[in-house]
Amino acid sequence: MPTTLLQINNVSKFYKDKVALKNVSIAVPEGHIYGLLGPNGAGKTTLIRIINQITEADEGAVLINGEPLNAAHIRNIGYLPEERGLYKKIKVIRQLEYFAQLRGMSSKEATQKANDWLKAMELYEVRNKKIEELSKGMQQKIQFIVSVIHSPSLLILDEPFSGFDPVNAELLTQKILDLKAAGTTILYSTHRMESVEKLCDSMALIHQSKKILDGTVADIKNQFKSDVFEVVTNGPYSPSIDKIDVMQTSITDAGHPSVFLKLNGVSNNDCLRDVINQTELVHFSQKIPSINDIFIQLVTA
Amino acid sequence: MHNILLILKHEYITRVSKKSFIIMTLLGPLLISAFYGVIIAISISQFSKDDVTKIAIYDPNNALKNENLSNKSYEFGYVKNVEAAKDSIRTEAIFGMLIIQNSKGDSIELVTKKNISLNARETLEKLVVDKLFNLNLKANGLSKNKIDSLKINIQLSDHSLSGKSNGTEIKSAVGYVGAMIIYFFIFMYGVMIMRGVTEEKNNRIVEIIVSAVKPFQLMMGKILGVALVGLTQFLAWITLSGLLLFVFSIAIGAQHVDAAQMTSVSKEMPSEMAQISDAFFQQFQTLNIPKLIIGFIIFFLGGFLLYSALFAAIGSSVDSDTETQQFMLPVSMPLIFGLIIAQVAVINDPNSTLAYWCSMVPFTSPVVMMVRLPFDISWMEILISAVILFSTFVFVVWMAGKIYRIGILSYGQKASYKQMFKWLTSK
Repeated sequence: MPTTLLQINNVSKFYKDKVALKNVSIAVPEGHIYGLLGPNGAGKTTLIRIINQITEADEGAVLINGEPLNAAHIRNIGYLPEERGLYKKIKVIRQLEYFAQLRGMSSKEATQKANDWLKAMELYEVRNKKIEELSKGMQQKIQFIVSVIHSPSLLILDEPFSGFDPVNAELLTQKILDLKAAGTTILYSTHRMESVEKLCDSMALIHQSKKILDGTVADIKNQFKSDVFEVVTNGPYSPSIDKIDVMQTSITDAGHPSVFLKLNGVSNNDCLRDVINQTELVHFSQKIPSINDIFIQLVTA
Repeated sequence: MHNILLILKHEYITRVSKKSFIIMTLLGPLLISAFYGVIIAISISQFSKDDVTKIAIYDPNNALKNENLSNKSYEFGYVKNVEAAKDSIRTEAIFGMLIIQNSKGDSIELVTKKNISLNARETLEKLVVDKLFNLNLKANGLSKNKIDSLKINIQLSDHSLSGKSNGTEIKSAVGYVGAMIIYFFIFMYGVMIMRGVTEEKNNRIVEIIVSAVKPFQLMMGKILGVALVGLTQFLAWITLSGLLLFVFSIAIGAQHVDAAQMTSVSKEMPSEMAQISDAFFQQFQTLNIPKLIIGFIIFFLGGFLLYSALFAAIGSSVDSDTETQQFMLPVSMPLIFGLIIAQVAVINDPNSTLAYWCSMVPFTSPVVMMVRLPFDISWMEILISAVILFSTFVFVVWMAGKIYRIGILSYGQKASYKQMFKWLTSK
């Protein structure tokens, strides 16, 4: 079990007329990519701003490596806000140097790192151009560099893929995985569930200011696994065991009959035997819900 | 502190390397001298304009004894027919008609088609009244020369107890120019700070920056950086203007000598000039230059910092430049008020109660104290005013910091005083 890098204990945040966060507790293990999921307005950005010390929690505590959050942690945190912004009229390289220095790097280090990252992100040729002269995709990549240039141990990405084309999204995914391999803990906030399954090790779901679910992605999927199975056969099949319910029947693209069964306690093997007694089996699989299904199930419940 | 310096440096370099800054810094003195050149040229042309204004005189009682009043600018002709003269006025053949009923000069009318300027009216009045006066003198057996020789012509020159000239004129001028400079720089650069804050807020850069530095540090770095930009521009302008003045005075000086040699104009000229420059020098000596410079720096900086903090708070509360208008007015009012006080009260009496209090109230003191400064204000008074100014600055920065802290991250809300007060009181 890896140590916990970021610990959030019973954090609440109130604004004058509404509750933004209510008793949220999260533990982000070191070296994980941790998905912070939730619909728009759930309180994700508020939580991220608290971790970034932009606002303070009204109740509860935030610990990094066991220490209460303080100003010294700033240089260990990288932040890619959802709302992107750079100085339009300032050259790329100067901009990167400035932000790196604000995060505590020396001027020399900052220049060195900025050049390294520009090369890695295929942007070295535009380093002396102003931001306003660059394409949207390039600006997004520079914004990403701003968040990682000081080699933070905790990287907070708020909807990092918005505005990326598929090619650059792939490059970004690769860079995120590289950072993880190098030991960076990443807090990944999004409402796009499909990317969570690809990237995240663990996750938390925030809904209406409260955390309603957290754990490793595998555990969560197991937890929500139902005993629904899909059976694809060559010929028609209808269960001869009374306890098995047929949920739905259809024909696959390849022309095979397909049926969704709820086993209701009948073992997989008994069910399989029943199938092969009747016809030839093509495919037998347990329906594991996607994170998206779980998300929708919980949020609309 | 490190962060404030970083932001200061960033703001300074970014602004100073802007093309618009470089152009303005180089062109500023040229534009200002061109501006004054045009004003001077216009006022000179006013005095020496060639077109002659024709005025008819209807003088039924022969008060003017048919004397010729014409000079370079006015040509007078006596008429007997009022209606004919009025026709000529209508067709603009002549500008107007003077109707003189008696020699006491208590009933002189001027009939014109167009409105007459105050200046022209005064000139005409003086021409006619002088002539009538001279005629009256003559009629009573006195000559004008005799009267002139009896007139006493003394200028009251004021001296302080130490016997030196008080130098009231130069003190007023120096104080006023200093106050104007403070006034303009507060406005120009205050608005620059406000725009900068709004831009960062609109670009959402601010979210990245405040995750790295405290909003207060960002605000202070910005204010100090822009103050330094202002100071740079100010010094550049002074240096350039000095150079320009030097070049001009050489050029004009050479021309002047030429003209003097060619026409060999009045010989008193040089001595008169010497007298004036001597008087100027005497007045100049009355100025306490170190006190002026120290005072200027104190009140320039204090005023600038105080107002910049307010401008930064405004910039952080709004989403666009157009929204700033409603907040600009209350902030600029005290400054404008200070300038009016400086013009009216201080020039009349630099030690009046109003002038005194306005030079203590922090929002007017930068301008008003600057005007009072040349008039031997005690160091104690300066110190008290400066302490009030700077403590108010600290207080305002603290307040502005609170508004700024929340304002920069609040989007889409229509900024209002109520909202700003809420931000101010929130923890």
